[in-house]
Amino acid sequence: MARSTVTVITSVFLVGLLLGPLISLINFSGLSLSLSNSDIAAIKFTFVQAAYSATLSTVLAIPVAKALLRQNFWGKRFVVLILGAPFILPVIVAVLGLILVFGNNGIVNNLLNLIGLGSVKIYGFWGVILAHVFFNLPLAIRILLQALNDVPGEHYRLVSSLKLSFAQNFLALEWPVLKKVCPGIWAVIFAICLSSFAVALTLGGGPKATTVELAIYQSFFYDLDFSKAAQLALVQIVLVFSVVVASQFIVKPKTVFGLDIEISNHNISDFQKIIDTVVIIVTLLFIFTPILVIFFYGFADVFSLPPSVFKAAILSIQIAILSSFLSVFLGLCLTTNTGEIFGSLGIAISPIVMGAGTFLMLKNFGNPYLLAVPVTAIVNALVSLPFVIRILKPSAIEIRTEFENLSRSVGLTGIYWVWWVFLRKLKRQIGFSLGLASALSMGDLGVIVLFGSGEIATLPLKIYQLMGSYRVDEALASALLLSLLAFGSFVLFDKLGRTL
Amino acid sequence: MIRFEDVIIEIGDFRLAANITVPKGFTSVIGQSGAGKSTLLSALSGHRPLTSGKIFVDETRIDLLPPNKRPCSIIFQEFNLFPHLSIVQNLNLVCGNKFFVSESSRKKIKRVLEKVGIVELIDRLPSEMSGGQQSRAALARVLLQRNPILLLDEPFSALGPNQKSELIDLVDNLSKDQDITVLLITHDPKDAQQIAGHCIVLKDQSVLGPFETSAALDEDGPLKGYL
Repeated sequence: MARSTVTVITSVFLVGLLLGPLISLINFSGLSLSLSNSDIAAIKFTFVQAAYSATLSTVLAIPVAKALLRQNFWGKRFVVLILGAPFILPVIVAVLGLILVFGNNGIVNNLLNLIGLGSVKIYGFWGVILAHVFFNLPLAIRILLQALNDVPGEHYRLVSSLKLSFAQNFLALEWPVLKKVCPGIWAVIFAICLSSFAVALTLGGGPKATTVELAIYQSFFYDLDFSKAAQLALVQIVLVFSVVVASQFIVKPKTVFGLDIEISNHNISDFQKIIDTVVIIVTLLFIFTPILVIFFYGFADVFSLPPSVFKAAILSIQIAILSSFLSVFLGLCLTTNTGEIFGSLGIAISPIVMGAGTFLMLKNFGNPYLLAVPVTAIVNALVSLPFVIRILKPSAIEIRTEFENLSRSVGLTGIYWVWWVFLRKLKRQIGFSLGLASALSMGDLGVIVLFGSGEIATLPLKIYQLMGSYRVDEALASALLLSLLAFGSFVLFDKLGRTL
Repeated sequence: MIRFEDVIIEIGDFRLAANITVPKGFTSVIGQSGAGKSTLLSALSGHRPLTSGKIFVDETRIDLLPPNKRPCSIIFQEFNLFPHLSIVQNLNLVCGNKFFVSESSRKKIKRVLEKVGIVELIDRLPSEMSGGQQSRAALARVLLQRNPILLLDEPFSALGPNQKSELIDLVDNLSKDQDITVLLITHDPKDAQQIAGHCIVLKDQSVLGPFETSAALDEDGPLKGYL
């Protein structure tokens, strides 16, 4: 079967998967839009929190990326490597960690109280922003670091020989890079935060801190107002789709998935060294303290968790395996330019929206709860698909070009070509993609909240339920288990891809 | 016998016309860099389409066939073996079962590797072999393909003079054994002199010949300027 045929069939399949829920949403919305004040407040909050999160993440990333670029220290490569960790850290784990650090009885507030500086609030608007910055700051740092590192070393040497002032130095070297890259970073983070659900669910809520996604969930779960949920879902689609389309006109930053960023070193003053050191330490503390406290507090109870937690963990593993293999299979079928466009459709339709549409569609045929596992696996696969395609596509194109003549001359085509060349040459990228997709699925707290129940709960949902019933110790231990599963599956698949 | 009938190949500003008949046996293809030697062989093997004209092998028209249906095997300057597959896996691609290496395929592959003198390297990866050994492995695959025409697109150009000479001799012997027509692209008139009874010359956007190699290399021959 020709490559284009595979792309077309897969694209049609994807469009079908997305169209079904979309049509259900349109049907249930009654094609009318009656937004209440709280709905408008949710739309406004969604935009404002996304703008704040994107701006703060981008602006804060600049000094950190510059400091990492300038300073050489033992373990620097490792630091840059683990800056990728929050990307695959389950949201619910990060939220728990942030609560332990910034919550009412958290480390930061205890310190502030000790020196009589009042306290910070983790719940509400600023809590949502804090969590979003926690997730997106490392992403912004890595993209910026890569961009700054692309400036040829000769430029730095030339500028240092000219003895320019700080401002002149900035204008000559860094401003051109920042001007080019920062709008793209801002747009990516803005789009990510626009679909924020799990953070808003756990740290937001109430009239002042409800995102559209959370409002959909509330209409669905608490008000049982499916028509309202459908209307809000359509609003969310329009919002995200508009932002995704608008962001196409901004220079897209390079996607930094690899862990092998080359870092240059530059001569700088002692004062600058001190400032850079402080910036790097504060950033590392901000990013890694919430993760470390989960390990610290969760470890004691991890072996005495109730069976229901392990049952949820097994379900999470099953869904992660199903969804990661589906995502990579679809990704392999879509490693063309056209395929990438169709594979990225999932970005415009968030898991909650897709879940709501699927729920309403299945409701016509029977009990949607019975299909919780396959629906969650499929939606999770579609969520990770754009990342998977971006990992697989460049190498897939290279392999086709490199081996085209040889393959044709030995008559190696179709499934045989896939078996002997495509899969074998792509195994490293396939392993990495499987790892990423399984880790993302493992930590997902999205569609499962619509389909899950007391009986059917993934580990993130179980943790959310434990938090809701104030069983904090169990929640922490479960969060540790979830982190180990997410990072473990990533490392396992990545390792298999490199060694098999 | 290969017949190019009113063949025109155009790529952008480049144009090559061929209206010749290549006899059986060993023929060298000679021309300056950029004259279109590789393009001509690519067109014959089906890797590049003709702008117009026809190609016949004996009396069968082949220019409309896909590469794997043409009676040609080709060895390129580089990338003749899949680097991630062992020699036995590489050669198995042109044997019967394509999903795994069966015992009978392995035996068949061993026999041809014996002929090219590298049977002990059957399970090695190409990266674990020298350039000459890789060329021998590519030749072994050609023998398995059992096509009556072998196209050599400067496959030995990166080898030392002794290795190159050895491999040209090997190709000559194999082609006589198996009755294979060989077209060898070469920059080096010595290669042509060593083995090829005939040569075709690419000059001024046309394919000329075939000529007796010794006559072509004479003072008044078509290769005068080239030498």
